[in-house]
Amino acid sequence: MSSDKARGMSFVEVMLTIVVITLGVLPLLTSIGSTGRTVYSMGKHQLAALVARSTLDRLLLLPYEDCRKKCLEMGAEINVTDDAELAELIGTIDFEHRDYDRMTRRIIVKDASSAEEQELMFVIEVVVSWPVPNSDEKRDFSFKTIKYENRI
Amino acid sequence: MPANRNQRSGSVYLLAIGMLALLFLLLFGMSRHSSGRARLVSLADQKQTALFALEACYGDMVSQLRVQIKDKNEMLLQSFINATNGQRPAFDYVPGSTLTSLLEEQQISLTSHEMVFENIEPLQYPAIIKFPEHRKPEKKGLMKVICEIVFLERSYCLEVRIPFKTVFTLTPVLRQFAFFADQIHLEQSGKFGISDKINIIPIKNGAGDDSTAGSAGRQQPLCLGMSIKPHDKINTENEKEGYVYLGKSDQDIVLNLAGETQPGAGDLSDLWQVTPECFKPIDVNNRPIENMTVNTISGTMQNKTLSIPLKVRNTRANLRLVGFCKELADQNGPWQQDLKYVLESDSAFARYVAEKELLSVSSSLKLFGPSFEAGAVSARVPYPRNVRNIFGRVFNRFFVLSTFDFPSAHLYTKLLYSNDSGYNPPDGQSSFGDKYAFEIESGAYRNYMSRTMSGNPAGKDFDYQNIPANLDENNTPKIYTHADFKGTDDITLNEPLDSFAGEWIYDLHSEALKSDLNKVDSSVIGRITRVYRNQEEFKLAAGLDKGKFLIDGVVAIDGDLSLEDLPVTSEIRGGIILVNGKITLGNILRGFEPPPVPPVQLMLTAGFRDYLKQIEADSILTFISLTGDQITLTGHVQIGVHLVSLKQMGAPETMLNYAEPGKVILAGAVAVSTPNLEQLTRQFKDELPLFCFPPEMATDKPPMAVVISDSLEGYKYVVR
Repeated sequence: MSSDKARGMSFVEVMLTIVVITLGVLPLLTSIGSTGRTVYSMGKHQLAALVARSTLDRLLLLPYEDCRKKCLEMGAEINVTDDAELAELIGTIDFEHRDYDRMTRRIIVKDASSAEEQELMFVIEVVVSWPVPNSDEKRDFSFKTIKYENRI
Repeated sequence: MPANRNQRSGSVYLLAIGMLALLFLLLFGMSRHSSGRARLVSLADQKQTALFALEACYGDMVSQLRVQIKDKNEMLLQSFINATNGQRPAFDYVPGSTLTSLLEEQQISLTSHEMVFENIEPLQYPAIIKFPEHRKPEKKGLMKVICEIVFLERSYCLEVRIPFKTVFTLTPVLRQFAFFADQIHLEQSGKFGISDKINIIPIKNGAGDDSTAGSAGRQQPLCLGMSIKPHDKINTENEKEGYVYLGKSDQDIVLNLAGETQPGAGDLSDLWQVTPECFKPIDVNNRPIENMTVNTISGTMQNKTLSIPLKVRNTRANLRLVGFCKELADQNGPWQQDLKYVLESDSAFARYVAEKELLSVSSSLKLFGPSFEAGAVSARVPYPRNVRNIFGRVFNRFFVLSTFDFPSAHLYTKLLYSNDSGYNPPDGQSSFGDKYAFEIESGAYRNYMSRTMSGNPAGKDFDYQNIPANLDENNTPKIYTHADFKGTDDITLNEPLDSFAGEWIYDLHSEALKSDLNKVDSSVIGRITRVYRNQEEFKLAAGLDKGKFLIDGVVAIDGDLSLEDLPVTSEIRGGIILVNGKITLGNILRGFEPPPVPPVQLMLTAGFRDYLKQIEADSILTFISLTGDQITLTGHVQIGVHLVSLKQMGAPETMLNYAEPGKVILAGAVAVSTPNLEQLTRQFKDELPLFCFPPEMATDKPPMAVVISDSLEGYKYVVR
């Protein structure tokens, strides 16, 4: 009698349990994966914002002519780690190099809209891009502002 | 038993449901965490995007302000000059097209903007300067700029405080002086002989004397420009000629002014400007000055003569001026002979005869310009008046002799110096024995009396008389001191002029500034609107690489400044350049092309005089060596410059140096404690230089720059 009492769950019960758990866990796993990708993406986004902001701040600090010259020099798309000044900054913040892996930066200089303003200002946009994992897609992030000539 | 089985399976379900619930909770938590983080990231990005947009907004406002300041929007400038706390600049801001595009691209709306003045304070002056209450003082203050935008339904506001200053772009007091040498007494430790380094120009027949030049070469005096004002403005608007200060204020400076054997013989005569009018301006239209030949027993004598009608019927007396200089040292020359005849009993004349070589060299400072009568013009030019106010204890020793003679009398009355205001010379006598009392229609004898070495009322070896340009309200010669100084901006002085530099000019790293901040506020240091770490930074900011030279305010360079020739067509905007070290300047031509004539002759051309008059006060470049170091000019032509290097010293130094001889033209002013005239006059070598004063430097509305700083003093960013 005691062996009867010790009988395990029925097959139906086991299957039901597996189904229930599967139904619960699968979306959870999917969700965890998605959250992981989001966190990764956000991390990259944050780093991109940091790169964009620090690059823009650095350029804005320069005198007008130097700033324009530097923007044009730095215009082409490069890996952010190839920017010596930025690399130095990254070193001080203690980010790992791989955080910036394949992250690129380019600078776009746009002349002022009107002829009168062209001597006085130009628009700088810093665009930072990084690849989406397991995809050919790229994500971009940018800041833009206007650099003004103080010596008028 | 089925009940037990059911109970167990119920527990499994419960466990599974519990686990699922936990998993869901975990999922929910993770989801919340990641979405919260995403929101934060998103918000941070928006905040940064908004901040860049706001900075672009206030940048656009300030940029437009700067453009209007550059374009001299008078209403705007006045709103800064008259700024009080809480007021707004007179400026209607409309966002520029570039900013508008930027904001539109990012779907940002500029909802409000405002500019308000704050913390406005007048700049202080040192104790020496009494700044008139009715004048607008220089100021410093803050301009609060507030911009507000809406971005993705959230409001962002940026509030910045930008320092600004309103400062004069010409140096107060100094700008009034065509030549200012506050320690020049150090160059004349003795009043004659080898200790006298001011009276050093040997001339003969009105020109530089080659025979005495020696191995060091010829010398030319430092020659200030001649009067450019209309002929009928006797002793009026003297400020437009630029004043002269020869210090120190308690030290006598004696200048040997030169005569000439024949009127109009050369550039260097000083007697051309020592007309009888100088002593007493009277109606010169009816009493023309003439160069007359006087017959004397021993021959003839040339001199300048004013014919004065006497009260005795149909008689006139001639007031004559003669002088001593190198050519008169010739014992056998005609003037010497004639003067002997007139003055043989005069003890001072006897001294001159005994020491003629010591007294016959001429002053290296020509304060009234070269002679109009020199070969430059063939037609007789009316004598310009003594128009330049000379400050300091400056005396002439050109041995001007006034003699008063009666027609046909062949007798001379020496007009001896007398302190006695009631003194009259003894009666004159005609050849027939008739006596004539010394009576003139106007004025007193003292206006006509001799300024010779005669008399000696002060008990000194010499009777030094001040240059006759300086007349008091009674048209009597007087010494001009700081108490007589009144700037065209109504500034007056509480202390002697030689105190000015010590209270106004400081080394940037002076200990005195560190220990007393009041000295910062009340000196030129407190006026600084921009500081450059070195000259390279300054040159870049001034726009030299683009052919410009823009100062606009008071800038300081921490180190030497060396400027090559400025491009001829440079766009130049004036201001004060403070240099903490040596200054080297090339040519500054401003489009002026020096013609191939002697520089001093330029002053005789209407074209140059007109050019000089149109040099605007706000275009003047003032270079000040804060350390009192040497100013070296590698170019010969500087138009519209004010060169300043002043300091206290125990021995003279070379503070103005021309690197190569040439045709020197300086349209502006010079203020150096000691120019080292002995060296400078040799650097001028073959050409009489021209130092001329642009009358606008003495404007009664000194230019004031409004300078908005590049830096910020307050920054507040709010997300609402």
